[in-house]
Amino acid sequence: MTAAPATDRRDVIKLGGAAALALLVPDAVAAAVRASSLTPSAIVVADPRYRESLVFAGSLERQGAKVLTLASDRATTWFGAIAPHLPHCLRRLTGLTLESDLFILERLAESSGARTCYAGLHDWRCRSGVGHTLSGTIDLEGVADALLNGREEWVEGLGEALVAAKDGRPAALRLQLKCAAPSGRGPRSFVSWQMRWAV
Amino acid sequence: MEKCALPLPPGFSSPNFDSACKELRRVVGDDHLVISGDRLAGYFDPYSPGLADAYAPSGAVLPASVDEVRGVLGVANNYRLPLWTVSLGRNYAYGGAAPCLKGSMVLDLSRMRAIEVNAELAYALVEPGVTYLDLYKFIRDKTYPLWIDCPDPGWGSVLGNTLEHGIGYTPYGDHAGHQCGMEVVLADGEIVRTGPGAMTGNPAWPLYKYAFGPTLDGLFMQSNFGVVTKIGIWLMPEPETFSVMEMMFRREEDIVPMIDALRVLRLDGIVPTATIANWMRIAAGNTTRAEWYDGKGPLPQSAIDRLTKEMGIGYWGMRFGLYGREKILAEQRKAVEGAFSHIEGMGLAVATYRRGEAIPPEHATLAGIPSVDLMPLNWLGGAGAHIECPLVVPMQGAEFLDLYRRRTELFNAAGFDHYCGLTSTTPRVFINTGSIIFDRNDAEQCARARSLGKALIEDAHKRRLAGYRAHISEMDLVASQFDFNDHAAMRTYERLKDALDPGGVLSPGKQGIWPKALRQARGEGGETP
Repeated sequence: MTAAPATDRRDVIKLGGAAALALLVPDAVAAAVRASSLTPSAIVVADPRYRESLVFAGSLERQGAKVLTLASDRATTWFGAIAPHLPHCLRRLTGLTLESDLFILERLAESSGARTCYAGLHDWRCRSGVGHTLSGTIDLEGVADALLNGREEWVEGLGEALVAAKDGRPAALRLQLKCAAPSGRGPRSFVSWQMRWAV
Repeated sequence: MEKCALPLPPGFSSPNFDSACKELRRVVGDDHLVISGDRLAGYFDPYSPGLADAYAPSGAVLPASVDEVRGVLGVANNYRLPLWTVSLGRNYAYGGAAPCLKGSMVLDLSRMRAIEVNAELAYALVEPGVTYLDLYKFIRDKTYPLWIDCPDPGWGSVLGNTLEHGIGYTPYGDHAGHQCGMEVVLADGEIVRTGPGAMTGNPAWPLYKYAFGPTLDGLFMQSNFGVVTKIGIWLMPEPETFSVMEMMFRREEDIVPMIDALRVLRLDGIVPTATIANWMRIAAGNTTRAEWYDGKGPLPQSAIDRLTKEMGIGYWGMRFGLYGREKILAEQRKAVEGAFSHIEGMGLAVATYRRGEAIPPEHATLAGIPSVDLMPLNWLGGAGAHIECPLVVPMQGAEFLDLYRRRTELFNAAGFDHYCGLTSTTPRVFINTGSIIFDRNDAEQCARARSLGKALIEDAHKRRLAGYRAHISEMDLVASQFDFNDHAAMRTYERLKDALDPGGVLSPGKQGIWPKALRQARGEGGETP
């Protein structure tokens, strides 16, 4: 993963917050897997194995992004579904995925001039609470607000905040929320991320 | 990745380095010398267990042709600038593009991307920048009835993987064994072609592995004696029929009869290659640890039992492909079933594909279809990474079980679950991979991963077993274990090094081979002589 910018670091510890996690909205899931036929300037990739990834993608789709489902072979996703949009108008690629998928896509995208402008590691299924570690060159305050104060569906709020985020100075934030462990099963951590191409 | 300031090459002042860079720019052009900016990140070890600074490069130079490689070598020799050669630098579990010697300039050959395929004689000639994905697409686009063999993941360089003795999953899985013909630029700029290629225009260059006289190719694999700019590799004719046999075995001790039965099938040629995975390798390819257990330390047996039961997997899984004509394959499948049927609780699934049929993703690598997925690295969560300490182990069941149990102890003592794989691309041994998966952003896990890697290598040495590859931080340790006749092999390598690269500019420290001027520091454990 791209190195976190080292300047302007601060830690935000919020104790006692509640963070019941998202209940799935079936319509959102259905929307997430529907692909737009328009040539997109923004693409969001969704991992069909995880509800959180689909909800996140659905929240961006409602704001105009094209949703692509990750193939089991990530190279197929990149070369077959994302790269063909590059010569035209793709400017932003976003996702809530496992960390290895960001690692792969960053390397497949690097020769195209992509730069990861935001990455957030969400350690959301640990026993003692939820941790979010954010870094990037966008304004992270709005993203942090969405995670700290947002609705119970933090995944969806995160997507909306990322769309709204303006460019900012390199920064990093760490949020620790004391809350009950979420129910259900799933990976311990996700990463939310955004890559951009220069206009 | 850790952030750190770029070092100068050892012994260089800033003006001296600037002067060398100016000359390198004249050779490759301004855009192809990288000494600042975002592009440099790709030359650090992305999976470094907290050691990225100790192996930082001074920059990277990217020639696009053999002539430019020669030009770069000329500058390097003039300035005694150490170069670290990579094809693409995707050898991630072993250091990626990062050099053994801090401050080396990475000689990145990724711009050299020529492919030539001869469909009739079933071979390809490739330059260092050609990936398995590229070669697969090239053959598919031309509709040649040929298969490649690829490692997993398949985004690396064909040439780079072959030189590192990489492995795949088809009958052509021993990549070095299926290499034929090589072009090398020596440190002084001389271009050498091996085997029949030593005769201008000889058509047998990519067809016949040997030479009139000594065979040189092996000298340039896992070595720092030259810069390999082209290799030939043999391709597999598309088989009439392809069967995948997947087996599961319930108990840890089942590995003994599994291996002993497999050995017979491998030696008599019924099974052309095979891969065995323990429960964790299977589980990590599909799930993450927190889905089974989120306590500290390794998974308790109760969690392993639940995992294997709920996933419907055994303690061990084994799979391989059979390739050829249907009537022959039918007999081979019977022989395989018979060989393993005495192991209680064995489960078997067979899938068969005729020529031209679509092969699903789960069987792609067995058909030489490259893919990229790094799911196992998410096992612990966080920013997943791994380092490898793979061993070459004889194909003997009881001996392997003993080794496996010892390695499980070491993994567990370090707080990690034991990820174990066995791949047989030659019929008498396995390559025993044991990925140490850790969160590269967690300093404490990085430290444990480093300690475990060293412990695994040292424990193997007590059994007189050794690695076939190593992370850049462990190359000296592994090399030092080859101790017959007071390290006569290393002395021979060093004599070759001194003769072929007297300036010591090519990949210092690669595989523990240091040029004369730097040997003393290696012996003292110095990081930057």
